[in-house]
Amino acid sequence: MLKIDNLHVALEDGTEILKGIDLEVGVGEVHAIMGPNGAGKSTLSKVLMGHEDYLVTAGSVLMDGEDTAEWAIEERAHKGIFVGFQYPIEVPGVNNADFLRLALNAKRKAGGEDELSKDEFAPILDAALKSAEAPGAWTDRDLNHGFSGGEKKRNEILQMFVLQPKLAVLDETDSGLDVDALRAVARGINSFRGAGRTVVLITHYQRLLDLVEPDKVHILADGKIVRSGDKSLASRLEAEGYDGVLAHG
Amino acid sequence: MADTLTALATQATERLAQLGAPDTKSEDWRYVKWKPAAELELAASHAITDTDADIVIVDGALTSSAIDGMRTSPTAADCERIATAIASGERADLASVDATFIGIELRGVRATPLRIVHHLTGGESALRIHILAAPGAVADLTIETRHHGLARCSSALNVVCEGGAAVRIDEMEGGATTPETIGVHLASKRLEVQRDASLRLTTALTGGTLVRHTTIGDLLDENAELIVGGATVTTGTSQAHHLVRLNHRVGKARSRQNFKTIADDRSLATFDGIIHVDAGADETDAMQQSNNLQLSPGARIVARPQLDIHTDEVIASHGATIGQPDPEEQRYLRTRGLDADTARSLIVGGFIIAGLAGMGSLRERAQAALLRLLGI
Repeated sequence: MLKIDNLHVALEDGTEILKGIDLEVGVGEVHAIMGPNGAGKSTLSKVLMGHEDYLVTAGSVLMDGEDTAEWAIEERAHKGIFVGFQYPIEVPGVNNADFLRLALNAKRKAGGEDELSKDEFAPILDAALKSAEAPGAWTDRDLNHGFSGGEKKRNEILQMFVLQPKLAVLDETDSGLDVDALRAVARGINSFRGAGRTVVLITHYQRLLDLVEPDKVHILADGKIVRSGDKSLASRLEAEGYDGVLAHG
Repeated sequence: MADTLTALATQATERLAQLGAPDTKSEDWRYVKWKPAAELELAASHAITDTDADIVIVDGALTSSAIDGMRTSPTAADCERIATAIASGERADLASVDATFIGIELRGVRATPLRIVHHLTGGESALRIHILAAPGAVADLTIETRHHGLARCSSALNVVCEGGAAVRIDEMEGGATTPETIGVHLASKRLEVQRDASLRLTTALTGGTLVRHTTIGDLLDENAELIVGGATVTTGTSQAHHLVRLNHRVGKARSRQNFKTIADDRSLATFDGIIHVDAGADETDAMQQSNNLQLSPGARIVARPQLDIHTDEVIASHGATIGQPDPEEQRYLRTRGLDADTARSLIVGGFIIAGLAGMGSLRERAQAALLRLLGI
């Protein structure tokens, strides 16, 4: 599904942020990426989505065997890549439901499918609201506008369910969530993964991984994946911290 | 009363002559481009048949009305307000003193919006509307100025909300017409809000040869609320100007100014707003915001948010932004599959929609009209 090979990424001023990432995620797997602040986790998610401010200086990202290097941002969405952002952007005046239908129709159009009318879209939206355990009233609100931090994260999950990507990269989706919201998001991710979708979770905390069991856990530090293991690696991090785990190997 | 009005008209004419035409040396008019207005070739007036409104005015002349309690001559209280307007010297007010007068008294709860349409087909005209919302009145009004041909118009709107009244006015100027058919309109609005009363005025404005709206509001008693704002679009070489002065005369009242403007091509749009708080008007709650999008390098936007506060215990904020559509917003929408052009249109359209969020029955039409101007 996703194969990242020796990925080097720098800013325009030459500052290198990712320094040779290797990562392979299979279909239907859930991988967690953990790491100290500034390690490059969010940069990785933005690069996967094609953010133009980050320059890939070496290496490659393959999605289902296809090189993504030349894909524009929207093309990545059409091909099934979704990033749930750490800080979702507010867009005042853009109705959430209208936007979701536009986004899904853009994907369908790119895939040669007919666009959906409002009536045709309604059951899809209802199902997504149910899966994301999101209140129906959110569809009347503007996109992320006036949402609390936690609501924005859950609105990202709602978008994920509407768009049904092949690969969802969720960047600190658990931060800012209260206990109930965290459980709701975890249930959503588990149901999403159950449908054979692939998930990369970027997180600082084991609490999400207690609810969504990852197939693999990776530690990203200083722009590289320096350790990989099973779920127990996250438990060790919780107990020993990054310094402890990285010092003892 | 007729004698009183004649005397006021004489005073107004003399005052107008004394003041002369405003020029850019005056702080309130410094950004106005006069040349296109001076060179304007007016279209000839023509008749319009409109049965789709409660009150229809064509080039300043009342052509039909279906309103109980409407009057066409001012009361003593109206004359007092005209005298106040003369003293303040706002040109549109002065020019409208002896214009067609429409007085409307709102009582009780009005179930459907009261719809007023002013058609401008050409020539020169003036109009004065006084609206009195009696204590406890609840009403929605829509006021449209539809431009059909190049005209020059001065208009004065006076709204008084007495104790406990709740009034919402949706105002639209330009509508489906293009800036090329919009001539000169100088509009003066005076709003008075008394104890426990609430007035919301939302304006959808299209730039023209010269379109200038002056809004002066007075919060006269505790628990009064005055909300003004809206969305403005200027395209081509058009210009539109908002001059807003909201005065907190006593404490414990609330005001909001929320204006959004989009300027494209080589157009000009300005916002000049003041929150004024009198000495002793403690516990005032006031906010003023002017947000502007400049869609092309040739467009010019001026935003001047100002505070004039003469007491200590207030909550008052003001701010202005001028910029292009946010690239972060655009990128975010693209990550969900929208192409760059669609994303940009959505952001620009959303900006208009957010600006008109306070509107009632006129909202969808006003949104559509402004979005159409931008080709969205």
